[in-house]
Amino acid sequence: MELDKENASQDENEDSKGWTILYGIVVGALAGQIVFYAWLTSVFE
Amino acid sequence: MSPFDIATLSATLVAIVFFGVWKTRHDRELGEFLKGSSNHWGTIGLSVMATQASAITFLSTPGLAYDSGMAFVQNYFGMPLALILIAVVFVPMYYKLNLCSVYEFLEHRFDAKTRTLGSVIFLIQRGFSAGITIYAPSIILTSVLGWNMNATVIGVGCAVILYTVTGGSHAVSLTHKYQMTVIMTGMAIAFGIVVYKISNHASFVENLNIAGALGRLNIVDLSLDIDKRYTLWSGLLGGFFLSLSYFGTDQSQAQRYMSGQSVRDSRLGLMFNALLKVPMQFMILLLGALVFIFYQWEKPPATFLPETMVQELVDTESDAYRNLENAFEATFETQQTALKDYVAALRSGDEERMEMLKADVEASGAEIREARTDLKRHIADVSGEASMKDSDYVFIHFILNELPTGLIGLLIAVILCAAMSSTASELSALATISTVDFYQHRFVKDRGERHYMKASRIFVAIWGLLAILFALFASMVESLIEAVNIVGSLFYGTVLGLFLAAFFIKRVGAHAAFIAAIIAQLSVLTLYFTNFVEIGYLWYNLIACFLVIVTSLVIQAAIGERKA
Repeated sequence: MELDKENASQDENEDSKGWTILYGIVVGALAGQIVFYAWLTSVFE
Repeated sequence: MSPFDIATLSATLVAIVFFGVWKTRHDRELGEFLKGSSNHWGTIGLSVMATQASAITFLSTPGLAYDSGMAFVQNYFGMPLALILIAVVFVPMYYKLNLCSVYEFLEHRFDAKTRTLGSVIFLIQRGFSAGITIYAPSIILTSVLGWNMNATVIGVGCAVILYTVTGGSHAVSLTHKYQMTVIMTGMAIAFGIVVYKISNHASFVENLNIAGALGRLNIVDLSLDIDKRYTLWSGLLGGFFLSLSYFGTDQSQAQRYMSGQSVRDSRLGLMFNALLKVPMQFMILLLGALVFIFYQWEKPPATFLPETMVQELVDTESDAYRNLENAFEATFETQQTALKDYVAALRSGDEERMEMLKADVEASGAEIREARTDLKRHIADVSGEASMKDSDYVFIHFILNELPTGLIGLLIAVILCAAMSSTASELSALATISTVDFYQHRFVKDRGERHYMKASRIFVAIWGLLAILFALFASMVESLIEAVNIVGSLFYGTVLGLFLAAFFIKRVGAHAAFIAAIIAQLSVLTLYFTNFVEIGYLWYNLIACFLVIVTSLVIQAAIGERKA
């Protein structure tokens, strides 16, 4: 029983870590795009 | 359109409608009809995208870039951040409560009257915009293609009603996948064709240099000027709040991502949009900027308004009109020389010469713009119409005149698929709210699933017929599209304020939230109708949201601690 609880808690932590990484990728992709668009604007201004 | 184009268009639309009806013909479960059928994250992602992308996205957005550049993309910068917040906070709560209507959440957190308030606001604004979603593309397509307006509106409306009545939310999600496939394919082909056509005159990078010189690659604006419509800051802040209210509290979107197998699928579907929506908008705007470049090399019409429309409005044989047309043609010839010299300078690598000739391109571009503005002003003055904006007709003009036979039919199918996909989501959401929040909740309780299923189908048909009637009547009302945006902005903020108070401010109770929402709504309506302060209508979203939160806190403090 204790072992089940421990495993479930471990799965939840790994799951939560996975989501944090995904949200980080989304924010990183947005920041990357903004920088790229700003660069395009300055180069072709 | 050629018979081949008509065949392509008809086959695409009939296949999608038939598929939607056929695949859902045995659906008998109310949950499946209202919420969808345990969709995979890919289906959810495409469905959310298809709901947001209306026909106007594909008709007007390239025209916007043609007219004033690509700065509009900044409006979407706040969206990925709002989708993350919705995925983290809103989605798990909606799943936990197993909601059909997002406004049920307001009853769980506050009370029944607050839920009803949220539902009524949704029905008013979404019911109004469902008509416009059919009307706006129909008015453009009929004036360009010479189709009958009433037949187009009724045809599009009935096709959507047919598969939404049959399969409800399940059919909407299924058809969205294929509609998005048609839309993406058509837009990719149009992009490839315009790139190919401009490459006959200069390389891709040289063409981008021309677009930049003529102010069409002004993507990011770091200015802090609040009068500017599109800046990085207004896009991040305003875009964040707009997306939060649209995706988090509007049933037509929430219903899409709540059709998932699990919280995981809904979240992944939202993250699919968070990653792809900004690049998609960028590509649509870049397509418009490239169409602009194409018409720097190939002579465009003096105005993109359909010939029949211009002939109805002004005497195109008059001296005044002819002179303005000739002035436009002369500026075009001047610009051709400037462009060729500039490209030669770019190839030579002589920076001083490049700068000098870039200034010539800018000057000739300004002359062309002025000549086009003079002509539009003349049409507006003679016809008495307030505005003669032709940018909505730019992309459709390019499609009809530059694409090969067969692809024209496909691109018209793209526009109609987009109109149908967003209308279907709206009708399905309107029917769900009418059934769950009113019919079942207030009037006819404790009946079987079959009864509510039948009621939902009747509501889809009623809302669909109302949308068609509205679209038919809309031709008699001026500036309707703007009117819909204003109505949305007047009501969205209150609902967002209620949801934010519900999620994040535990101390606010039902009475305080309801009274605050009424006060905020009345204040915004008073501000708007009395014209007390001159502000852009988008600001009403933020004002109402802020008022709900602050007023509810004040009222709660006045009436004492909230009961647990």
